[in-house]
Amino acid sequence: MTATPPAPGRPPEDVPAPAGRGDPPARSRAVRAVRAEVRKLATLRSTLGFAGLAAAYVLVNTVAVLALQGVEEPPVDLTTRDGVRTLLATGAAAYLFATVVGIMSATGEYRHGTITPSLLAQPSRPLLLAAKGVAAALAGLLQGVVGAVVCLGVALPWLALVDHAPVGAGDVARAALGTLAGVALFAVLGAALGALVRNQVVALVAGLVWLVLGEGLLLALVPEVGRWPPSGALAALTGSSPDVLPPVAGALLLAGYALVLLAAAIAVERRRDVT
Amino acid sequence: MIAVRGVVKTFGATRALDDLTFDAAPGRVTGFLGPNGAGKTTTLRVLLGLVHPDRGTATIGGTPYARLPSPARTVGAVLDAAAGAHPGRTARDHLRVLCDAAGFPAGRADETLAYLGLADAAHRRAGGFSLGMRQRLALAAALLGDPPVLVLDEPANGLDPAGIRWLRDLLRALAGEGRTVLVSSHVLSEVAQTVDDVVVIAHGRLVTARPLADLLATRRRAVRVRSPDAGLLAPALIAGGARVTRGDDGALTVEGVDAAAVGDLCHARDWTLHELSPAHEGLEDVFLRLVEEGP
Repeated sequence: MTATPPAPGRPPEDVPAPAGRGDPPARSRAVRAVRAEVRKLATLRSTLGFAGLAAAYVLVNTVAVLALQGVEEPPVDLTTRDGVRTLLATGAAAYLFATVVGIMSATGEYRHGTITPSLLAQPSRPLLLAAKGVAAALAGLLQGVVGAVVCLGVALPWLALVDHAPVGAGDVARAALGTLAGVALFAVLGAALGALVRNQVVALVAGLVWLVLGEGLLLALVPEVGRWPPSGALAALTGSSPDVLPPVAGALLLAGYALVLLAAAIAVERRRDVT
Repeated sequence: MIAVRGVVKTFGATRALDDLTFDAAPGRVTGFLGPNGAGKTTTLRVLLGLVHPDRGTATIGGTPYARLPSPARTVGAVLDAAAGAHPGRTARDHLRVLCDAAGFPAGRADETLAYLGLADAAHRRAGGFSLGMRQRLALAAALLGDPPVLVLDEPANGLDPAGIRWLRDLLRALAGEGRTVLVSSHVLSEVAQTVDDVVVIAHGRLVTARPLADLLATRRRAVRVRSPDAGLLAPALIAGGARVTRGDDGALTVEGVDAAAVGDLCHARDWTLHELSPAHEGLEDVFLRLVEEGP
């Protein structure tokens, strides 16, 4: 207790009067729900913390590609156009952190019990999860911006110092826009996965194991399907590898994954109990 | 205002609520009582649309919570106050998030924090709050919409004696303004000074629902008497139809006559009285008896 409790009495006078009664328009409810979800993310230090981690991780990835140009047969050969495109797309590595932010935004509600006040303030679960998806997309966009800025900010000046294939303006634009859109969509995927699973640790392990190991394994075993999973769609968006879908198809595919998973989370959440 | 009708809820093989029906009326504090595991929290979560009942309805003014036009303006609730706020978010930000979601002006967050004595803690992260402060923060969240109905699950948990008295005064004041207050507890004596009506449940079933005064009237009444003339007094009382038991300390516990009759008798016979006090069945005894007897 920090202060002497105030004497009880009438609650503060300038309470929003019951004038506001009546069903508020659906649009304003949606705007409020999104505003609440954005504020949830904006008021947690972890949101910025993960952006910082993403910046560091992208920096390591980008520098590694550039620094390894001196070796014999570098993993990414910048004297080829594909190599340059891969370099420009290293900012998309932020997708891992965007996924984590999305997962935590949904599972944190259950972990800390905030789901109860959240649903008391706004009882529609579909609206809550849809708003969470929008807010996660915005947080993911931040991660994507961080990734693209760090990657291109390091890669473009550094390229002047090494032998490389020509850098097309279109390649830069595709890498930058693809990174923004792709990383943002991964945050939505994370939020939907988190809402489905509810348990934070399980969702984080499942999400990261799939992205880091699962898709890699899939690629190794059945290379011909490699363009179809979420990371394949991300590669299509950024142009990081030659054998991918066209960028628009990649964007639609990734958005489709995110929306289907979010719809599944909404369908399941409607029936579940919040205990 | 609050109407629970025939609610049944099963979790796996456990029947948590079994045809539960009761009301809570405006302008009164209704104590929702039962031992741990009786189904109190589940009932309140059904009432607030968080748990879906297998059968039955729970409504506020005739409407289920989730379908109220302005739910957070109609009902304020404290459930699971020990959790309920993200440890990394400040108290003020926690409330501002809820203001956003419910469509309240941001200023309500500061007003309710001040009202609950948390103004100094507004910019501290909830993770560092004591249980008592969490209770206050949860109450602040419940009061954001100045709601006519309040639903509180064990709000006294974690409060110190001064806090409990403060909560009692707050709930009395809120009911005095005509609001409906439903407050759960597993200790009758904790809420006896607060509530007007009691709803007692056990094993998910209603045991009794009635005004507290009615419940108190069912207490077994007795008088405790100490007297140097107990050896003469006891037979006289028994002859008069009372039941008398002698305690280890020599005091008599007398049932069947009231204190005035004992005093009158002693005065008439010129016997000395050292103590003459009511020794009614305690509140917890009433509560435990009711719970054991069941519906």
